[in-house]
Amino acid sequence: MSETPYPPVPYNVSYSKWVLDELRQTLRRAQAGGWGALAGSAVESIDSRLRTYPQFGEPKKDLATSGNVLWTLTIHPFFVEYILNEEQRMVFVITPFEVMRNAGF
Amino acid sequence: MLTTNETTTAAHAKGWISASNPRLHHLIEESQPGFWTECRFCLLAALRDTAERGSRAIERVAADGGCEGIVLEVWYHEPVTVDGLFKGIGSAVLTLAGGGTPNGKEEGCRITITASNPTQFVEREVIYDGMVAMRDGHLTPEYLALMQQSFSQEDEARGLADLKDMQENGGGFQFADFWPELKKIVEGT
Repeated sequence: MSETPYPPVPYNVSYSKWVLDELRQTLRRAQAGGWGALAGSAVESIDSRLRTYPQFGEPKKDLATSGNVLWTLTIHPFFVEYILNEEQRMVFVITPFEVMRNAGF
Repeated sequence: MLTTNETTTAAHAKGWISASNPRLHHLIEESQPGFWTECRFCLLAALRDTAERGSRAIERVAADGGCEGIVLEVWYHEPVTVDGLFKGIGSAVLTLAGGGTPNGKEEGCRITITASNPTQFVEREVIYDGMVAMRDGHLTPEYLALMQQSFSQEDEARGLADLKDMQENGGGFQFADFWPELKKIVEGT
């Protein structure tokens, strides 16, 4: 195993209260439908990707506020929009996770 | 010759992929330190990680090959709709995930892979729920519009107001703060 000379510095990922409230309801639906494990795993994956490699998604537009770029990310069964600010090394999730069509919940 | 052009329906996808991108290497290393340490196995590790962490779609994966490209084979349980997200080798991230379709509306996924060499996909399409969701590693405008249609202008304004608050006042929540609670929800405990 070779050591990484410059280990990655995680991004700071922050979720709004709105996102959190909606996610709570979404996961309840998923669990009730028998998709709790899948949904939970996806949420963990999304956070992991946002912390380590937010460029995993696709940039969609520059916001009027300096340095903020809107990105989208899809990890089944969720579609996520987030704001990436490279200068601050920050990620902001400000709109609720969207469940993909026919995902079962 | 390192070329494949294969269309598959439902159960079996096979193609050449490259796993030489160091950023993906970092990603895997951070999530599972020491798990897979060679670049050529990073994508395979990501797939296995996906399978082991709860994807109901992936049955098993196998790979073989050298550092520049590996032959990837993925078997899926049936019936499934597979959401395979192939990212370009430029960003070099591949994830495949999937789930069943309880309503049975769409069973199966077509993944078309045409590779002229082991490090570059020329054409890829991912079909999800009967429409082309991704082409050449990017979400299609049609699919993007579909996913965004539920967001109203009021929603956008609310999100931007939250962003302002989070950036100026440090509001918002960290994953570690709320995940224990949400984990109980998904586990039904």
